[in-house]
Amino acid sequence: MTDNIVSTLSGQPSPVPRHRARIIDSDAQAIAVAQQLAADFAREAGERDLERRLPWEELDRFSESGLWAITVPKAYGGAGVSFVTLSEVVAIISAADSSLGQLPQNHFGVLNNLLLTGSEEQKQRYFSKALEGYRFGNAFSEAGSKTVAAFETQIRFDGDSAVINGEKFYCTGALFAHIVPVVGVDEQNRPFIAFVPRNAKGLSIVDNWDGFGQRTTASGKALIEGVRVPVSDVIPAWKAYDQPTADGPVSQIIQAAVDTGIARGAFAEALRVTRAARPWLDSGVEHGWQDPLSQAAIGDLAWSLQAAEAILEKSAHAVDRALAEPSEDNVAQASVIVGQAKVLSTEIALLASSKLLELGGTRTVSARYNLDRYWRNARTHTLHDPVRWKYHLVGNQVLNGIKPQRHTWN
Amino acid sequence: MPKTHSHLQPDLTYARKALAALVAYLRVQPAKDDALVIASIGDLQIRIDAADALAQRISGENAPAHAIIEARLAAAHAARLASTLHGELTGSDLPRQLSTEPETPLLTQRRQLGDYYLNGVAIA
Repeated sequence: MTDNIVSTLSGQPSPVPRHRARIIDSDAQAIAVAQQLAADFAREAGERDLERRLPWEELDRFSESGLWAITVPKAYGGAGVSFVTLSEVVAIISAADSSLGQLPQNHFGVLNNLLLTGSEEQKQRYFSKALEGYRFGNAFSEAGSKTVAAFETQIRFDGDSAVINGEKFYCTGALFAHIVPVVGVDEQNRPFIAFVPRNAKGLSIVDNWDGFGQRTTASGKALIEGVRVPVSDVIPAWKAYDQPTADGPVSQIIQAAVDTGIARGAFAEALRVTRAARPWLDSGVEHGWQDPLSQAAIGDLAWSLQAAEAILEKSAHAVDRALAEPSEDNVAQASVIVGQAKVLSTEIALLASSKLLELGGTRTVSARYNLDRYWRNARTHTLHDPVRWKYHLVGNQVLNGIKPQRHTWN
Repeated sequence: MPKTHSHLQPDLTYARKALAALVAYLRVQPAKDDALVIASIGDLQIRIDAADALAQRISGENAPAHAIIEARLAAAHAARLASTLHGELTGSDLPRQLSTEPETPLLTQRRQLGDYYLNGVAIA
């Protein structure tokens, strides 16, 4: 990974939003706004990916729409939408442009962690900011530690302030954020989240993401060198895992929603290119859309996609139950069903994005159509955590009655 | 009542029965701690729950024909995997009682479903 890849920035990092966001006050309004935005985002999604044009303008429209604050609880002035609605919003946007769909992933995760572990004053302050249109990025993961859950970034409390030092990677959203939540561990290895202003001294976001998919997420590096924030800007994130909470499934369902969205987008493209395909010589039909073998392949994609959609919705209900009543059983149940959604969405996103090229034929691989982006995006985003261990997570519950471990990846 | 209903439920029932038999068999075997065995049981549970979720969608009176086929194909997939896995992990077949009701072949249902999404052709 090199650090010298510099993209042409059409936007500028800022610690405050450009405009105040609108307020969305219902689940139905959230869906309607997402649908309008998705139609807008779909138009140049291919070009943005091809040129790796970072979506500064689109992201401003996205967060100014109010959609980034829809999970703020009603008690704090938000719509407090259900996770059925949130996962649908994320899928709708991801079907149009999965980089844009992924960008608020950690923002929503952080808002949930704030709800679980923040003080009353912190909740008032940061939920207000979310409603005003602040985007929270993330500087959580580290590329160099032994496992994903091992953090080397340190937070040290020093009187009224906290000092953070470390290096992060896969910082989706950090480049475009107004506030960058940074995870650091204290002397007892307990993770805290510090809300660091985008322009804080000692914080540098390096746009060195060169993944072949999700290209415009700019999920690169963050350097945290002696960053100092008031202790009032730090939340004890570890408490979300000390007791059963829905924090893990909340984080995971957003992943599954992005992948379900990619699958929807790829399926729609598969229909389009199959209709336009030339008939194969041996098929004996006049038009590509009459090909019985293509029709059967579309039929398989269709039921698999519907299965992924149905389980995503079921898992969202389970997350809502775990949020309302975070018992050990409810949280485990949510993790297991969200794990199923992760499996099914991964499979159909990869299958549909590959089949669309097969059914469309060689003409569809012309680089100018950029139809490979669905597969590149599916392959990249579904690597967030290894899906093979989700089959295991589900099986271990059934076979051995063992509940999933509680962490951000379950 | 559409014809496919008489096949969907037996397939789902068979898949659930095979899973229960597998779990009972494996619980007293060292294989219960084998990561691959555990994952394969998870795989089967996921297919059953997916078929079940699609079956719930068509529980009402006027379920659309395409949704009926979707649930039907998911249930068939779950039953096939259940049968294979039962044979592979226990070394014995779990007999499957096939419905005697006539049914459009599953191959044809797949094509009809594709024709519906691709060309808007109503499913007969």
